[in-house]
Amino acid sequence: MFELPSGAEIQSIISILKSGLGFFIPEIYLSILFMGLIILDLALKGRNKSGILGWATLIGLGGSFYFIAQQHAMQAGEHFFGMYVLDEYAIFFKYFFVASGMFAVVATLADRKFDAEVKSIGEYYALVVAMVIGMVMMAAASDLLMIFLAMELVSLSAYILSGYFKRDARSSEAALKYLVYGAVSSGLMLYGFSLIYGMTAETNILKISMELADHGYDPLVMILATLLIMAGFGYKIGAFPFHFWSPDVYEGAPTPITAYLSVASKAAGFALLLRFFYIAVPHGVSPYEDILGIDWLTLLVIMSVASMIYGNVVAIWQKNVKRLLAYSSIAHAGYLLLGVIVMDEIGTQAVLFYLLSYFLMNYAAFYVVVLISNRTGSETLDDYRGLGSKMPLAGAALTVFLISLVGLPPTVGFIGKLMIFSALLSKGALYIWLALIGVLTSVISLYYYMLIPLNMFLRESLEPNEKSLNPGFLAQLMMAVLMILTIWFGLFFEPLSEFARYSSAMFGLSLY
Amino acid sequence: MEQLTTIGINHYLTISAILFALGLYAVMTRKNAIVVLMGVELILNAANINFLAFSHYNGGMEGVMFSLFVIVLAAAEAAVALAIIINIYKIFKSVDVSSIDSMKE
Amino acid sequence: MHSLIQLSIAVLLLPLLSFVILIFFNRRLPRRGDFIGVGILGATFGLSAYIFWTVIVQHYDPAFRVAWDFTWIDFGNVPGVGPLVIKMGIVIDNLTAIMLAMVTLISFLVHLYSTGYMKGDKHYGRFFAYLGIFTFSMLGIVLADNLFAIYIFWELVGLSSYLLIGFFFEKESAADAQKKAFLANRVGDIGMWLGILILYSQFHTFSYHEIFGHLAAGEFGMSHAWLTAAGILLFMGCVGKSAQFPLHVWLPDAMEGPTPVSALIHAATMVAAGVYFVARIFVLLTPEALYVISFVGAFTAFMAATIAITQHDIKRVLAYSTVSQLGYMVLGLGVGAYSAAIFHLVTHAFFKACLFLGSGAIIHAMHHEQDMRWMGGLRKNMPWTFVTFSVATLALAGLPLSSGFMSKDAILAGAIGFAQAEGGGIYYLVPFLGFISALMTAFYMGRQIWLVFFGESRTHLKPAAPDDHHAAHAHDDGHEGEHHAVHEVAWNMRLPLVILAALSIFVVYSPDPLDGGKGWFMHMIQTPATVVGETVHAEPALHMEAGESLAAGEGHEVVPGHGAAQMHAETHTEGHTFADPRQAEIGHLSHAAHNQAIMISSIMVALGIVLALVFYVFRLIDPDKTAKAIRPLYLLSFNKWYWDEIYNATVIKGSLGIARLLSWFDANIVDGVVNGVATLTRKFAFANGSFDRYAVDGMVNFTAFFVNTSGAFMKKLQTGKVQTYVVMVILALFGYFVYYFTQLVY
Repeated sequence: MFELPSGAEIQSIISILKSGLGFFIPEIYLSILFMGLIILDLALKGRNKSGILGWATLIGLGGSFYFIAQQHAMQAGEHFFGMYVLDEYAIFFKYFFVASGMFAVVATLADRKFDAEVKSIGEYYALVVAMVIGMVMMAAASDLLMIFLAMELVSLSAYILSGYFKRDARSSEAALKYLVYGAVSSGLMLYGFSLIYGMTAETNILKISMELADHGYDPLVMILATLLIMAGFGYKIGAFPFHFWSPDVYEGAPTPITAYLSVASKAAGFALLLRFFYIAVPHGVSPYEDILGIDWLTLLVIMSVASMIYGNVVAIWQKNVKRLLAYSSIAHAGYLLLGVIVMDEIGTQAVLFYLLSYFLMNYAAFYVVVLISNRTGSETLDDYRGLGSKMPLAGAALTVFLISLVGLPPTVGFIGKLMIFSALLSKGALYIWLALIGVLTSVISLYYYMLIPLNMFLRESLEPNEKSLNPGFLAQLMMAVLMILTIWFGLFFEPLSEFARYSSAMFGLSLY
Repeated sequence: MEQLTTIGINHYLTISAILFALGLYAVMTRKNAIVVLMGVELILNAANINFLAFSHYNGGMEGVMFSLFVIVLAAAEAAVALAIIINIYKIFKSVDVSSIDSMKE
Repeated sequence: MHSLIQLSIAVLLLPLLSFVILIFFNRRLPRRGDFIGVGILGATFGLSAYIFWTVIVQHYDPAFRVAWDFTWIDFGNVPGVGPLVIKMGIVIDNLTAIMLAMVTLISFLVHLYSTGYMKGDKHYGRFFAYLGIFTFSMLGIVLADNLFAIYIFWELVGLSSYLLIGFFFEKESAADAQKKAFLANRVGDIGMWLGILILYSQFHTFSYHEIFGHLAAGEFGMSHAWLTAAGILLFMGCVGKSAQFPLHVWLPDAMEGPTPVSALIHAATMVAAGVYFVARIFVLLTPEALYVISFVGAFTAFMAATIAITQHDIKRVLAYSTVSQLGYMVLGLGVGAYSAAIFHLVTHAFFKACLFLGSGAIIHAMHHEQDMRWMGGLRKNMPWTFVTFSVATLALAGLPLSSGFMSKDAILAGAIGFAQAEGGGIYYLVPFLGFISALMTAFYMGRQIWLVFFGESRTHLKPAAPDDHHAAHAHDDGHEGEHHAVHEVAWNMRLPLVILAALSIFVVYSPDPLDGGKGWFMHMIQTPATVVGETVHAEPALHMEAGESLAAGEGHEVVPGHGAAQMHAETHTEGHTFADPRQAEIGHLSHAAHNQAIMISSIMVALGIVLALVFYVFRLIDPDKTAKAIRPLYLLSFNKWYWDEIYNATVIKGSLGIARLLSWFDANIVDGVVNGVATLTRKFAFANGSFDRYAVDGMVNFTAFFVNTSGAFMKKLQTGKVQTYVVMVILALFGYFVYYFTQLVY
């Protein structure tokens, strides 16, 4: 049926692959790290194994910064037959995900539950690295196939990681739910991809865009395909109505993994969403106009508003802090979607900045949750009572992070929300009501976030146990640094916002 | 009439749509986790049929390549899934998806 | 920025600061932070007094005006509305300066008084916080330079009043009164908002100054009737806030709030805000709108006075008297006696606050006894209260040498002038009702003084009721059942009484006890020129030179040296210049009627006092027998003209009927989505039970409750079963698909 390629063609394919390798060094490095960790796991014996593995991962991931930094000098462009792009946008997310992976490792090292639950840390760190690779590729993928493969790499690693406490019923349940939900979602997305491919005979998103713009398409099929694809992306970003897996998985998974999923996996979803919607979907002249007959904005607007309202309102009812943060992360997906809706460079910048701020404050909050559960063995709100006097630094730090999550000054979360809302408002009167909903739901979030400090500082402990709980010097130093950073970037946000603006350059972007 | 008798792209697409629907139905209604995963496989294979049919009628190798990767990936996913389900069975002594709902609301 | 503006911003924000500090930290502060409230309000008053001094004493210029504004929100070009820019701004003129000083002074005194009155209350700190937010909102109304800002503060005032009325929320009656006040005010506010929108739709600005400018330039694009409608709709806001007929029903019930609140909000400031607002928009009111206003005011004054005669509760008498006096002010504005109405607003604020605080002192001393039938003989036990209360009573009744005499007389003179200018007939009803109300005022105040302070103590006569209302009182001080000797209250409650009583004496406002027009007040507040085009009722013979502007004018209501005989409508006397012939005519005629008004009202007041003496002091006629003899009239008065019953039968029953109909519809027809609705209904039923509890802590909790309820419903979506999640996703996708599909088809 198909002709086999000739020898000359094979030669040219090989030369293209070779030339692409130069732009792929961080990913290669991370893959080597991944395999190295597995081998190290097999080679190591002894009691300190998990600690050594953790530090090795940390150093290994840190090393990749060197290779990523070198990519700034490279020309933005497509590689590997348009499968993969290198641009400032992708580099931004490379930093982001590697840093996320490092943070997950730090949190894991701090979490005592691993010592109790897991006999051998085994592949855990390798899987964390695998997920980093997958997410890095998601941010840089420019072909449907690459998108699918990268997403599956992330998902498969995440399924295993969320069920890593094998003997813990909740962790196993989380893994099962994540697996079923994720598999179905990616199946739906794949079916959507196949429809797009059928319409355009292309898998490269830039070419799809051109094809759609040049030859037109059947709107009905386009709608169906986009909705199915949205199911896949929506599942990654955890926005209503594709969020259902997240509260259960976040609650059941090991806390470092919850943090990792809620920050990095969500960010990867957004990286993909932005690139896909900005490049693959052909656009009209202005966002007010329907994009070639179909108003995609409505889809995103409904998702965003529903996420903000749903996430915040349901979070009020939560008794488990991890679950509470899970619902709040749904709401944050809604805020981030507001930035996507803006559909221009300012919006992209706002989203990137918000992701950075979210990275800082959400990881930090989860870090404190880990430390507290180390001491109390519990994550329910009632068990936070009276902790303020026993762990003053943790209490203060958590309060700062939560204030930042609400979006109050002088924290970095405030600047993030401010940038999102001002990007919305800069688009004119049409978006005022969206910004208004954003602000109102933030007020709701104030209520449930502040329940935590309320319990810590103003309510008496259930058990009259007056000894103070010391989380250790390193942990305290870490919390203090994070707290200072949260406030520091709330006051001097210029470097971060410049970085976000610089990184909003996307290859092939021809919006407006 | 010729439309119906001569095998064309519509036939493939119809088969694929039916498979897709069956897969979804299985995922939504079956209790056994293994069967649910088989539903997922059906969905993936429905997409595969689409890819191959389009590849054939549009020309070009991308679709074939896509479906090859999907098959490989489905195998990997099945491996992970079975590991998780075996673990679930160890803990809950059951693989009934609908009864595993300790975390909710 | 003018330094006065800067000062006034400080004046505005200081009470807010007090609120913020106290609401969050009152439990952590010594004495629950009351000294912060009192201290901040003292400072606020100090600043206001300085503003007052600068504006009134140093400038002494009737046309003084400083304004400043900034763009708050610029919506750009809103589709369907046009350019929408919302500005915020401050305007300071004589009216503002006087109001600022009055509001902050009374608020300060009430804060001080409350340190005694509210002592030992569970929510002592929160009380001061609420007073702070109230004062902030009230000052906002006074300072605002545009309708939008005033509307915001208007609602804030409504909110804080709501919080304060229901302060003793454990009492069911307080919670009911709170809801009633809120609803009645809402009705008025809707009208006001519509009025604002009519004006905005024409001029695309909210600023008074600009609206007046456009109107004066004749740029109103719609018919005269629309302008009248706008005026009446704006007046509806005043009907709600200032408790005018037919929305007066909430104010007497609002007496469920603590007495200092009654003094501050329901006598001196908030209820006066309605009158102040009408004064602000006075120049855009058409003659037709003014007729409505004058009749509403006259009727309210009369009706409330008749009710006050038969009430037993000391605070209720004062409440109805407040409604009645507010009716006077509205009447005054309606007949064009602008300065007289504002004069009365200020004098009334002081003497009525004094009366309320005095009654508070009595209630405090009597251990929460409010029924006048069981008081008596307090003269000896509470000399300070007695003297100050009497001074204020004289002012309220309108006896010479008091401030109330001058202001009430000026209004009544204006009413006579109005009736004459309109050619008599039905218009004489307005002054007639005014004079009758003056008589009744003197009567019921005489009755009150006598019942409370004279005679022998009647505490022992009180029938012991099992559901003694103060048993349920949140303010429980542990003295139930035993009647201790009644003592004079402490200095912090006495001092406000003395200050307020002193401000009820004529010299403060005018050197001539018979003529307020000779004082500074009437000089500083002058009727502004109307901006409404031609007036329908002005007869050609009465036209004055229209070119002469108001700013050139001197005092116009009454000018020294002009006797009544000299005054004639056609005469253009020097110093009397009016831009508007109708106003000019009323002004002249009311000046002419000045002496007449003094005479009639003095006779009326004297008559009222004599009647009170006959009934209660000399007991020549037995009040109970009289009541029996004119039983229908007595019942009408005692039952407050049955307004509550009428509203209950019509509005409330009607709404309930509709609700019942809807619920039948719901139960019998919409039986489909049983599960979801059932959950929701259960939540609502639960919520209903705890509604009062929620309502008390204000809007925040109410919103929280709402959010909670919806959250309770929404969290059910998260069933814990992963397959339902998949179903949800498919449903969502299907919903989206249907949406886009219909978009495609249509």
